[in-house]
Amino acid sequence: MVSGKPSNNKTSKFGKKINFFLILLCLSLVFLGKLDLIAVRNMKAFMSDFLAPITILFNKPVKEIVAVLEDVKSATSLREENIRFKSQIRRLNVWKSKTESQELELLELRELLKVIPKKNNQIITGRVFTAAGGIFANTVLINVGEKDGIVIGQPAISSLGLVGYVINVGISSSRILLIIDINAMIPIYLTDSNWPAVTQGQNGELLKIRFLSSEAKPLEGEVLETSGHGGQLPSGINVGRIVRSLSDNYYVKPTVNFQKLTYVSIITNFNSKYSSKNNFNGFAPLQKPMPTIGLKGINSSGTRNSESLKN
Amino acid sequence: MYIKPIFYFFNKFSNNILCFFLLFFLINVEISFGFFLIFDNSIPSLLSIAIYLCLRKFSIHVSSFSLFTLGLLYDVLLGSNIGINSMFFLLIKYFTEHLKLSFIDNSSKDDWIHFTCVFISSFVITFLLNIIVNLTIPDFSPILFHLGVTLIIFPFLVLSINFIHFITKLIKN
Repeated sequence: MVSGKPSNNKTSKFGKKINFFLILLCLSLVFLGKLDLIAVRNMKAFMSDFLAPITILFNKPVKEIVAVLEDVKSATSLREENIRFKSQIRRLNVWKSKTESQELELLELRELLKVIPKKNNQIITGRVFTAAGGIFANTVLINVGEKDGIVIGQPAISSLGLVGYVINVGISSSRILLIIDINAMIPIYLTDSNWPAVTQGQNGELLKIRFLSSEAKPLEGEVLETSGHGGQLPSGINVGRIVRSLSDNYYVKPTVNFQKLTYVSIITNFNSKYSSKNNFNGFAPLQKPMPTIGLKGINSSGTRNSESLKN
Repeated sequence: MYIKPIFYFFNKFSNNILCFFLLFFLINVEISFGFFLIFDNSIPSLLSIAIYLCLRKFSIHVSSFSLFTLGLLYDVLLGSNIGINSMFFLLIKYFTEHLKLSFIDNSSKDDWIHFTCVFISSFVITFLLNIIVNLTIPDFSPILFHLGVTLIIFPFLVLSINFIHFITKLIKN
């Protein structure tokens, strides 16, 4: 009897070799991917574009199920929610009257000081079609891309605050690196004490605070906003609030719920240092720092402006 | 019975293609699990369970090339480092086929323990590689959740498969 099946011993040895070869190939791909080569980036963008319709198709029924479950959940707690909303409306009405008087005062003061008016953000809003929650990466795909004017480096926001920034752009889809990702570092400042720092994601719920001065004493619940240092993100976007852990360390809880992201807006008129298409992100020789306008929290020399704070 | 090698390889190729599409479907299902609030931290690894069951329980040979390609697609969909998930799937395959533990006999009762060893050893290697690449240690709570949920889901899936098998057998009889 002659069988077309090759001998088991031979195939298993060959398979083992192939397996090892592919593992080594993966290992080299991991390091190659980390180099952020343009070819790899373009290939990723193309594949994201190509797979986007399939992902949308698969995610739609799951999204519907989740929506139905949430509806059922909210229907059971309608009475409590009603009471909560009523008290919230009362509180908001008080705040509204206060804000209106403060807004008028602010406009008058701006007029007196001849402050240059803040540029309005131009935004493009896209729908999120993948959920965050990867074990090694926290990114989402949105359905706007190069054809809509999206460029790498542009900040992504939601109605609650900063979501992340664009890291990969396809023709009709873009990938956003969420601020909770381990590779995302956001320059921020503490709004009450004015101390600058940097937040780093941990692939978890909370963000780590790095490069915060030892003199700084953050308060629990203190709001953090983007400082605009480094020129990658605009200043004044809400990032989160300070929370204190049991081990007395301070972390940041983002204001955005990344699990419930449905729409994300991309600020397209912010000229990020990294958003230029033809910008070469290679190595450049060190240059003497040029005197620049003092940013929030620090003065032009790069040190914290304590005198202005006292005044 | 004479079977020409070309037919054998054609049969193997078609099986692999079918398996590839089934696993790709499962990838999308796994990713969409992220929308459920229960998987707030991280999603369970359904694919590793599927690969393990294919290789050990159903004796379906999933080719290394399929796993490699699936891993790359998974990386593109999730936005993680290219190659990380391919390596994880290949390690799952390698350990499922070659990891032999003296305290485990080959009966289906010990499947869970064997799967735990296979899954954790593959995950630890991938996780360490990820730490080396990123030069940062991530938060452990989503990782432990991921491991825990996957290991909890496994026996339930096996039980449901056994139940379906039992029912179909009953109907046939």
